[in-house]
Amino acid sequence: MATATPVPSPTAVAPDLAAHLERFAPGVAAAIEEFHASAWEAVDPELLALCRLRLATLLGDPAEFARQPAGAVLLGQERIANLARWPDSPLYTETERACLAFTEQFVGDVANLTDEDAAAALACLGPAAFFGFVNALLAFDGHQRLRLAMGAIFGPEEES
Amino acid sequence: MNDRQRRIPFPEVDGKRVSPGLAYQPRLAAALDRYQEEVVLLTKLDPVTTELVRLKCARHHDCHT
Repeated sequence: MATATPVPSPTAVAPDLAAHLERFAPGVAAAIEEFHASAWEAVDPELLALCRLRLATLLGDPAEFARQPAGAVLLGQERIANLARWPDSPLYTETERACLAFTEQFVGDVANLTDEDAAAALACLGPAAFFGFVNALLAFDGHQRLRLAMGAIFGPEEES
Repeated sequence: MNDRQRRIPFPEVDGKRVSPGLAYQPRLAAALDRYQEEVVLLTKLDPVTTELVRLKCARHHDCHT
């Protein structure tokens, strides 16, 4: 996965996905942009940016890894480059580690998230931020999977 | 904690339970509602297939609501 500085994007939703949605589901296109914009405002955007990048790595999506969506903050290169080593790296806080662990389980096998996974993140964030965090993960996970699926079906030639 | 118990406590206002979304993250909860409404209102997929997809997603997420 590339670790170059992410390229800022003018929108929260990836332009290629936005184009597909405008074509097939324009109502969804407007709603998903607002969903993502509100997610970035709900929780510490640096924490969300870390978890979003980890999600992109786990889903095998280098294009999303390289994009900095509107609302996200720019992370330091060292923290981006060492993200896969979050369990042991001193570059990440206890809260970030709890949320990255939650993210990995969410992406890999959401139905088997344990009470302990949730309790660790909830203890660090509190109920309101935890509610926002889980919904933000839902937004990012759905966005990246949908973008990958659309790209596989329609190909890059229809992207704009 | 059993497998149907809430992990996030119900917020209370004036001693009454209120929606976690409205209490904790009203803008985000409203945006998610609108997004899901727009998806459900899509017509290119027939209603039976749409419902099958919804149920499949609910099972995948271990969602009982």
